[in-house]
Amino acid sequence: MKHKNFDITVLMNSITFFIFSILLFKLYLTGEYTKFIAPKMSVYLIIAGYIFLLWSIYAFKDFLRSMKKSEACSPIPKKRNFRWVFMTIPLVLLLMPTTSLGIEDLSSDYLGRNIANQADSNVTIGLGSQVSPEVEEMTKQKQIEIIGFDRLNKTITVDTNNFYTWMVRLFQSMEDYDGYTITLTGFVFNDDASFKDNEFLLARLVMSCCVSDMTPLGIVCRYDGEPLEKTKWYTVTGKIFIGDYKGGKEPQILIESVVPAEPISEYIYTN
Amino acid sequence: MKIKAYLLLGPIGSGKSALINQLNDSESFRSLNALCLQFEMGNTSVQLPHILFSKKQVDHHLESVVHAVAEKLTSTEVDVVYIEWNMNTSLIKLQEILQHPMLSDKVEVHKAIFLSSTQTELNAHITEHILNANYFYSFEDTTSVSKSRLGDFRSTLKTINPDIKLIHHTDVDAFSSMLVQDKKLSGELWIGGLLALVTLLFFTSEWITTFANKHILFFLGVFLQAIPFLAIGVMLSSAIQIFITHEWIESKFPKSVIKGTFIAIIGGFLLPVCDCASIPVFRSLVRKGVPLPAAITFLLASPVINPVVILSTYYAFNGKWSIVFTRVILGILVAVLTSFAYVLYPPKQDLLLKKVSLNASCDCCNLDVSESSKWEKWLMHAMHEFLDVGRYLIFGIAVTTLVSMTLPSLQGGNSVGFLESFNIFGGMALAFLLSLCSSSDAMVAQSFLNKVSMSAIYAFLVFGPMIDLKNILLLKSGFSLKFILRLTFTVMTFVFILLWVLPFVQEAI
Repeated sequence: MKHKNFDITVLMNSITFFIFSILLFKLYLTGEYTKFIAPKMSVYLIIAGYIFLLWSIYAFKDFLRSMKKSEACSPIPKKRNFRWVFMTIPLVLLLMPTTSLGIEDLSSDYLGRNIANQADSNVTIGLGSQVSPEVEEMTKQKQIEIIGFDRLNKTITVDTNNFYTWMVRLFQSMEDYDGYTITLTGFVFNDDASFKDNEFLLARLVMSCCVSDMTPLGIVCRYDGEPLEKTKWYTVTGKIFIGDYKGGKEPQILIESVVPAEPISEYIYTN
Repeated sequence: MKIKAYLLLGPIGSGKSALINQLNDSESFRSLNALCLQFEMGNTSVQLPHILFSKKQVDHHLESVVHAVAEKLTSTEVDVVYIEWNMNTSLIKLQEILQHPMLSDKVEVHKAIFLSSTQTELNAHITEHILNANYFYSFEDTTSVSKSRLGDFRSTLKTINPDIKLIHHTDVDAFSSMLVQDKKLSGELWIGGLLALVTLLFFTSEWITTFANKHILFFLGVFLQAIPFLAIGVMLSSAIQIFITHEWIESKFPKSVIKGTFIAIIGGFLLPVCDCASIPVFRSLVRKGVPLPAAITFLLASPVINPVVILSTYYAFNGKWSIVFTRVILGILVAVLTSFAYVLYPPKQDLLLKKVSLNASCDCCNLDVSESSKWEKWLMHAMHEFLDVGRYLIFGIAVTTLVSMTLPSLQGGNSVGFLESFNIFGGMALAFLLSLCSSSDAMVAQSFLNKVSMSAIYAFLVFGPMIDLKNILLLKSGFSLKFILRLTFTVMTFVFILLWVLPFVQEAI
């Protein structure tokens, strides 16, 4: 009887990488990858998917070849390795019904308030000027004109798509907007350690590359009413003023009204 | 049930026959009917039934060898076979004998033992035999051999065949029971356990996600970000392995340390990948003979100075070029200083690389080479390297996830406190534990702005891409612990010194 000598390891390698590549393509095509990584990284998923597919195909070719050959290379039984088993761990995790990270999941109080500080002059945006190309490039939030800005009535209306750009503007040139009435939507973040009772941060979640670097970004609000519940979404209206933070100045909002709002599920992606 | 055969390899006088006699008398084999197939006439005679074959017979009358063995196996009761093989004959011949239809379902090699002494020169010819051996055995009295010679010999053995077990000539009974043991079981148990765990995870997914959702997301976020770069990295490193020869590096790579370092820095700028990719490339470069200092410069500099990192730092700190610039300069300085340390105090060559040999399916016999093109070899080598390194990556990310998620003290406000108290060391420690990809650590770092000193932030930004939990584990797949530790401490020292000096330099400017 001819000695059956095909290499199961090679076959398993092929199968594992094949399943992986399919999963990666699926993540990309369905947009599910946004649960884990930022859109700018999504192209790399495709690259990995193609590489895995290539490997899978050639490993399979290898396997077929090993089936045809009746002799092995050495009399010693080939050491079977099971390294492919380790790849099944992330595979299984990917198949699990995970749900997007919400604010409640963040145990941290990273404060992204400094995101607009210390800007170089060529990135500063002042009153009446457009968002600089750099900042526009920085976020997926493109705009031709400054949306929501009403110089006459001294009001600013921030909508979902220009939260980030407005934050950058407010922090970079706070004097220009001092006294303006602003309306914006975000979730409440009011850690006892960092905020006094009459303060909270109104924020949105920002992701740079992947879920592990997610940070809340927002603006401090002064509010003398009932303390608001952490992680709940509100649309607030108030007057912008220049407040203190650890010896430095930053824009803050003196709240006039608070209205519960629908949660915004999208993250903000930088660059 | 096939009869188990034990193969003994090694030069004349290494003691093959003597070991066969001892094994035959040992506890595990005493009661078995043994047959010895001698393909070499040694000095000691074997004290059990045997057949002696001459080299001429093996070379020209293989069929007669097969017949003789088959006849003996059918006419007498044989429980175990010892094969004493001639070092000058290729193992392919043995394969032909054992794979012959008359014998293929009767006998099977279970384990192979290589015997020799430190006097034996481990040249290319012997390598084939060492590669196929499971154990190394020696009758030599090691007390009379110098420690360094012994060490060199052993590490060369391990370099050729990392899986070979070195047996110290003590208890033959213990050794024989080792031989009899079905090796597969212990390894396969672990793997079986892992597979069972994975299957369990699959079927309890609903329940698991209720409490581990955050952890899984975190793990997968880092994982999905890292694997494309790892895949690219191994493709690059395999390309170096397959397409670039030792000789080319020897002739083309600059001899002077300065020029070599410079080339390495340029290389670092050009490789737009995560730190996960630079490690396989580093491994390949060293294997191909790139001088260690230059390779180290590349390893340390590329995660910090590549275009992706420069851009992400720029955007995270909102266009502040001075921060980007400082990060790059510091990164280059640390890399160069570290590599100079290696120039001044070069490591003992043998301790550097734990594994040099490619895995078995790559350097299989010559039969394979003609069939697959160089491109195929490149792809398959890359795949194997990925699998090799990938398990360390998975483990590393798992550890990072646990550390980041379950230790609240590492998140947010307490991070700040931690950094404030421990400053530069805090920055390094935090970067080490968080093990962020070097393209996203800038974002995390900027959240510490104005709360901690810039030195701590720079420590975080410069040390992190170079050395962190993930990197250490990736390095472990190709380098000895000693090397990794020395590298870590050297980098730590230079980062600390440079950052301590930085405020003074900045004032002077």
